[in-house]
Amino acid sequence: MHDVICSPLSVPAESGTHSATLSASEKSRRTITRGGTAERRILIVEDDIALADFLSAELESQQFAVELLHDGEEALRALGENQPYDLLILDLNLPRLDGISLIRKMRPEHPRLPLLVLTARSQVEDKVTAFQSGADDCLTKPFSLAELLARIQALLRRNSGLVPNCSQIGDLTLLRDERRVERNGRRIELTPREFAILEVMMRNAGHPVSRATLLREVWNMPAEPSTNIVDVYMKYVRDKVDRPGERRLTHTIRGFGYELRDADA
Amino acid sequence: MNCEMPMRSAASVAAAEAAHPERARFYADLVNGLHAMAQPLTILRSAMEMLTLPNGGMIDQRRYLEMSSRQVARTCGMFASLQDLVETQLIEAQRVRFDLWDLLMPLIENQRRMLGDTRIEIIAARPESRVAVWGDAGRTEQALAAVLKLAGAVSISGDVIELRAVKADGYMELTCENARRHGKPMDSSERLSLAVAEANILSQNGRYDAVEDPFRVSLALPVENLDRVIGEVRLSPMRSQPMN
Repeated sequence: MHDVICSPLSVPAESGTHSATLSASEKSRRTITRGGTAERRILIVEDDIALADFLSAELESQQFAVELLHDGEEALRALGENQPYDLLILDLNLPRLDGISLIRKMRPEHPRLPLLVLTARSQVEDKVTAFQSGADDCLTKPFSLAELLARIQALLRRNSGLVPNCSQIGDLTLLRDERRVERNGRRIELTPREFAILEVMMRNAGHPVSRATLLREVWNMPAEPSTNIVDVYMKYVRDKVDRPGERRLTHTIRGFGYELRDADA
Repeated sequence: MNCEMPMRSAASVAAAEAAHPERARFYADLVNGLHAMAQPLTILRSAMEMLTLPNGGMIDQRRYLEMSSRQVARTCGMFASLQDLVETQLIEAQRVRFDLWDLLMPLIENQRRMLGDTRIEIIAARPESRVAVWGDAGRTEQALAAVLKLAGAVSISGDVIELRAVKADGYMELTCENARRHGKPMDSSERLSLAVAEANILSQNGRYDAVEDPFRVSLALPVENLDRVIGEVRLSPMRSQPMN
């Protein structure tokens, strides 16, 4: 296993791991407290004001911290500010930037953010498109509040259990929520796309990852033999991760793709 | 694997839309209207759920009852809009001569009263000559009232809603706009009202164009009786073809 438990929420600062290099504010920013109770933070993007207000009030009564936005552009901006949301509830039919376009734009930068799509459209194609674009779950209106709450709990539970915040291979560490990468104490600055590539590679560390997988997971594109976009971006990632003199972690698997591997492990 | 099915379906839909754009638009408006009703129905369903909880005594019953009442009213309004939408295709529009501005002025006055002290201003630039058009005065009045109401609904304090009429290419075009960008967002029932306004205008050989943000609606009606000009040629394909 290359995923290790080193979440700022679960590891005390004096643990002596790499996470001790993070500041105290970074360690605590995912925890919002009210009256001593930790709250999960949910962003709702819904253009119908009445429904948005209703959902917001009901979720707040369930001890969630809720932020409400009404159009796709606003939502993309808020997500770009790296607000530490625990869940995104997204209506597909949004003004200025529709829900599917929003998912496609935000997913590379927020690969782990649980995403529940609300749609008034019952066609299977709409749901398929939402899932293919990166939705984790889909609920068709008119839905019941009880079902929405159950799905929210399931998504939060799934997210907190299966994919840890921190992955580590050799001296390379990736913190998903903080969108931070370090190698042997050296901070590595990555673009959103480069981060998404490394995140996929870290999830599959020790195993070859095909170019097609990277195209699908990072760009949401089908396998396209004529494009070299993966190789171009992989070179950027490699140049930043494997500096001269450092042990090489990124390896090319000729004719297939790439692998993240610590040769000395 | 049947992953090609949606693509074939999309292709056939696109082909049908290209062949009958007016019909496709009407069906799209109907479907969007039905989808819009899912918003109040979601609130209604959830409110009912809260009211019928076993420990219902713990919740604010009145709040959920009031919420239910508002959403029932909203859904009824949407049903009425859908009915209007269907009737634009079912019932033939009248072809009479009337003055667009005479129709508009009382609506403006009414809307000004509705806006009250919101500091949202309506400026109407009356043209020098008469604004006579051919069409259905009832449908036009309904469309104008909806457009004015929506212009007010998406505006905020300090905004100016402008109205102007221009004659060009055999049409009298009336534009209603609020040049401020990013006013209040339009909700699904308001979009449905706009769709009904559009259907009302198009059903009388009119032209229609709308932009949500910044809000602008242009509707145009012929200054001549087009039925007389083009003889037997029907402009509305919906009436000459079966609905199935």
